[in-house]
Amino acid sequence: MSEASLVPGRKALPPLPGVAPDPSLIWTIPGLREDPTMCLRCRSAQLLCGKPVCPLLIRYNALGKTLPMLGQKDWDGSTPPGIFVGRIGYPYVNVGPLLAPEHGDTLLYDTPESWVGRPLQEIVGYRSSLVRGVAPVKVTEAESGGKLVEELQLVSIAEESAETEAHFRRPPRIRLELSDEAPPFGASAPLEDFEVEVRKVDARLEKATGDLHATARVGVTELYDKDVSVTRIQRAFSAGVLGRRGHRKFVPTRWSITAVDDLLSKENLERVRQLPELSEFQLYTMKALGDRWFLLLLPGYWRYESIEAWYPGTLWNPTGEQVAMLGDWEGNQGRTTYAGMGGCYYAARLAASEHLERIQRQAGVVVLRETHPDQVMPLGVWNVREHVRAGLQGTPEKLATFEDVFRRISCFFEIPVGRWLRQSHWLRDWKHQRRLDDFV
Amino acid sequence: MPMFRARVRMEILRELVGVVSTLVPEMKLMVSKEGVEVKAVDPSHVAMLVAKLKKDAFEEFQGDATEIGLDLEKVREVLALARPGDVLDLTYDAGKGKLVVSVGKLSRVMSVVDPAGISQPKVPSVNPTAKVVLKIDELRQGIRGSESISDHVTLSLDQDTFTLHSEGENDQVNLKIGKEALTLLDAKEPVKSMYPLDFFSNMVKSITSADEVTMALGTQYPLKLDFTLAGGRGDAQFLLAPRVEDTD
Repeated sequence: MSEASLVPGRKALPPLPGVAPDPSLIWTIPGLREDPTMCLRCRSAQLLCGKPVCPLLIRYNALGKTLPMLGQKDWDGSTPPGIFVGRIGYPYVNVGPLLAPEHGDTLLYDTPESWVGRPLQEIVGYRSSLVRGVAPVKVTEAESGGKLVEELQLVSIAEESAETEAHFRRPPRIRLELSDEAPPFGASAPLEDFEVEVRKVDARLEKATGDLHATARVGVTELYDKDVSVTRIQRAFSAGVLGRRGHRKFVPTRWSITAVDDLLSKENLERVRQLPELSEFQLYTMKALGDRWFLLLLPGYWRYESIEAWYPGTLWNPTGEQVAMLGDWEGNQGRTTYAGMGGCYYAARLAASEHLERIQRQAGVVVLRETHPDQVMPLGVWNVREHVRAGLQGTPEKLATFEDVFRRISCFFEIPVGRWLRQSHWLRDWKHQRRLDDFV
Repeated sequence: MPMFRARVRMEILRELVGVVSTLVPEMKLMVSKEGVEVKAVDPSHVAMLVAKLKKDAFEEFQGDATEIGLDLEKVREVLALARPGDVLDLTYDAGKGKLVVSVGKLSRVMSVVDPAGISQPKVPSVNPTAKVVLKIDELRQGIRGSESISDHVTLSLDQDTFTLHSEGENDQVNLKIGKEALTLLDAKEPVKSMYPLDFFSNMVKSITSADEVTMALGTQYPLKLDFTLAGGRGDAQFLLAPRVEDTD
């Protein structure tokens, strides 16, 4: 179901006007010239280029080193609250608190739900100023405890920011982790000792934590039904405080975000599939942080597609010659394989399912995203979830025919409409597939 | 209270469930004195099914006119417990809204789904002009060949040949069968239509007992795919809407 290809066709085209190619990257990243979507598909996770470390990350690490160094081994400040669970070496992973460089209320530093509408620099600033204390654990230690594990789990259900004191084995080093699943992080250091004073826990999370008979799925769903934010649910999920006794584990932050988006949207869609069908095209659009969002509801039954197009010069498409497009789709009954485009697929699906429940209609949802070079940093999956949510809050434009949809795509994007159509399963389906009703 | 009680070989029930599952996760089983019937349409209204099992497809059959809504996944779970050749016993308790399915010493009490919630298609009267009867194995081979290169197939008939054609960006697959190798070919003038491969493939793969299928088609027109169930003691028909490719 996944499609990756060049634009527009197999042959390399001249660079788009105004975008300077970066020839050094073509030479330093083997295979990128032949396959411009390689970095986009890999996102440093698979090292498809065959290098021991991701060349793109090195470039950004260099940028990180220019930031002022933090020289101390002792840290006191507050935690937003926030925790981090690494994925390298699973099931032996690094875990630790996220620490802000100031005291008091730092909630905003780790609350992506509140970041919509803020400038890029501010958002990147929140995450890159958080220091990550790390200590190795086996994921199953979520249940066997230990002082650090218990304190982290307390942080994971805290309602408000909590004051902390941490002692590191060496001063924090700045290294920007770039990932589309998790927002950018700042420095990290091995944790020797950690104290936290949590004054208030979220009662809803505390109750869920105390339930040793409900599965993690049930726990996550119940919290969502009680209006606990997705960020808080995901934090508790990753800290291994939900689920049945004997099944609780730390879950790497990256995985937990997508697991929660996937699980919650599936629950919503069970209900959405029972709703009456939408009878017209509805279009919502939004521009934010270098992304253009085209959020289209198709008449009829639930089905879904998400396509992202990375303009030359953006992070996962650095060669600067061609737009790279990647998309995935599913039919009415959902999908059984992991979407190749990753966590963004599930984040947008959650936002879409919430919207359909709100308007009490089922419909097809097609999310088209064109990312421009002014998005200099990858921002994390929250960027997709929260902007699709925000975009769908607007007043829809009602379109009478598919030709109108066609025209609106042409006006809204730089990428030609024919290219979107070729990439999109459900737009092509609409254009070419007849229904039996047409023959009644 | 309407009653329904039947004993049926697992292979027969399994094929019915498999055929219906290609389109929907739940079915409305319409029971009458003569047997059972299922009509289903997929949510996109691209494909439709009418399937019938006559009462002599069952080892034993007693039924009054009633409708039973069933979750196909549950039925599949019971079928997975049966061995080849096993006979399943079905008893519907209309009062409690339960279907009891027994296989050997095991019985599963299954709550039924409200049949009113399962959409019932209006079957369009589709009359394609050309017709072919062919071995299902040959059709399967053509589908297998197409699956890796495209998401649609073109079927065409002329006076002498049946052709299945599939085209990807660089590759093509053609299955050509001449009149002499077909059981029947009736095309007064050439016809040609393209169909979505996922539906077509799932439909053909769900047919497990028939050796031959009858396909009726026209030009840019729905496909009618007829085949027998339970060795001729039942039959089924799929309808599949065409895909229309234009030049832009």
